[in-house]
Amino acid sequence: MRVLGIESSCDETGVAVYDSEAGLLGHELYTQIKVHAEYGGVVPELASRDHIRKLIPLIDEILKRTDSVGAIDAVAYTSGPGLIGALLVGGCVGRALAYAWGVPAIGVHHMEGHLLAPLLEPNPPAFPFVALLVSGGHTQLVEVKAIGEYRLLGESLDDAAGEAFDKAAKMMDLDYPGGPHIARLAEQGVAGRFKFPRPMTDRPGLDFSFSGLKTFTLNTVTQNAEANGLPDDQTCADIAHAFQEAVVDTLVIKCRRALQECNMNTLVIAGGVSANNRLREKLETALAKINSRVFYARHEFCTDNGAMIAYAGCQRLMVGQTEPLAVTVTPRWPLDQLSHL
Amino acid sequence: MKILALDAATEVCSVAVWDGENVFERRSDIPKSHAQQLLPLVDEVLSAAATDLASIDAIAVTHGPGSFTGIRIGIGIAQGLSYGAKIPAIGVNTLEVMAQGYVNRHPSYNGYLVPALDARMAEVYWGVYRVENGILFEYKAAQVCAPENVTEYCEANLPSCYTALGHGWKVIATPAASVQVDPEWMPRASAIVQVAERQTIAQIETSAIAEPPLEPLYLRNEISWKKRQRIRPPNSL
Ligand SMILES: Nc1ncnc2c1ncn2[C@@H]1O[C@H](COP(=O)(O)OP(=O)(O)OP(=O)(O)O)[C@@H](O)[C@H]1O
Ligand SMILES: [Mg+2]
Repeated sequence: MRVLGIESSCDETGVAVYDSEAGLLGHELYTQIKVHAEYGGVVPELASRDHIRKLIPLIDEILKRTDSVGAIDAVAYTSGPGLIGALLVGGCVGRALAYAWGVPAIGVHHMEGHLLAPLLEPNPPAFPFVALLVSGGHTQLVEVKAIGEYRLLGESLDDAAGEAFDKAAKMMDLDYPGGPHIARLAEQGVAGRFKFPRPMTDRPGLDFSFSGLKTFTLNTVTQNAEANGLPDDQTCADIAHAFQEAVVDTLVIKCRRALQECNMNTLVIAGGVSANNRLREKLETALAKINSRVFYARHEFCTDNGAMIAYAGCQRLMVGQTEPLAVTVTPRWPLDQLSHL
Repeated sequence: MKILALDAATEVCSVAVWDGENVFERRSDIPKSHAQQLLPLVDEVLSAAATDLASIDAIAVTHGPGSFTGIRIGIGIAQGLSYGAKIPAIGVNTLEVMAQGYVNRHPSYNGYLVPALDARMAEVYWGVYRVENGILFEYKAAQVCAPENVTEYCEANLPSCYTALGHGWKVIATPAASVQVDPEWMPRASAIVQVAERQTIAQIETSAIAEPPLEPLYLRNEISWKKRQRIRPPNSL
């Protein structure tokens, strides 16, 4: 089965063609980062305007490039969670395309897309596993028995990890989105100059909280600020380093705890923050000690993309799940409400 | 020439098929559910007209002005159908469709029509159309502005007995008693057909229809979000 995947839940327009026999045939991504950078965050109306302009040209490109014109068996589109106006664009275009082609369509849960993205890699993880979903809007630990069988183990009680990266970056006036910039700057940071807290690691449980870390970062930035309101470049690098270590350590501690509680030895990390090299490195070291392994997607499939939607959609389509002609999007949609395969 | 017409630009939505002789139409006025309604309505109306998508020669959709989300639902569906079934698609003006609908209902009307839609934020989308012997002409192009400016314009430029259409007139000051006001007047897909036919024929003549750009007509482009204040230049660290 050959599936066209469409992702438009936030600020990236992604399309891909996945074939259940041949694997991923190709993907295309248009990122709106430049559009939103001026505002320091995603402006929903501008996101929707860009999606409707870019989607058909991207689809045209991917179908031609993967030699899939006239060969698509089904369409998968992100139907939530995300920005309602942005989701509607992908949903309407995707559903109407499927109708015009006379093929089935399916709405895909964006976080299920992220969660399954590592399965697109060679030597994918086997079920069951624990998943850490760390992105701009989510920080969740999930027990994954099979596709669609998810149990929430813990989540952030306030900011998501990616959001914390973005806010910390903004405090030091780094570009949006801040995660990759903090990560790059942290490489030049001196370890040990600042010591940031590891929130909620001193008590049992698998929930997270990053808002205290955010305040701590702001105080550190303010206390070290010069006349222009910012610390000097080396100090920023040192803060970035301390901040990243704190987030990464917190995530690692909870992941290890989750694996032990579930009695499992496979961890999957997914979502934008799973692209963080320091997180990957520290998880690898920590999990090796408890005979466990961590799996993740290639960098470009950690952040939003069409490939993960094509793949997740294909799994559900292959067991016969489909969507009626009505386009329904769900801006807020807990992962554990998904149906089993 | 068979035309499939879609409208989701306001609180109502509708779909129509013109098969060259008759027009078939399906409407829905359930608010906030256009994305759920539109494609099922397309399917229904194609069956009612005893035809299918492959037999359609052109798709026409109201591309604005109106609700931004509604416009994108209409255009999104139209784009999918158009690209998927290789049918040329064109966008038509919502206000012109409202005016055309009025002419369809009142074939002997001669004079001026002023359709207006509430644009929120104390503004309206509006335009002026002139009807002569059943034919509609654009008199003043669609625009967005404060309700007072509409009143001012109409008083200065139109005869005392024009017809005011649409919910924009719920926020524009009530005009003189000589003006006919119908604030409940809404666009409908059956009227898109005539507008599209005029436009399609014009475009076919200029052969501009091959790769039609189906772009929303927002009219309002400023965004009320605050731009970010930077200390260091972008990409400097
Ligand atoms: N190398 C990195 N290190 C840390 N954070 C990163 C890195 N790369 C990306 N991020 C963060 O990942 C987030 C974007 O990820 P993603 O696109 O998955 O999130 P989203 O789609 O906005 O949110 P969600 O998937 O929860 O709806 C941003 O917050 C960004 O700063
Ligand atoms: Mg995401």
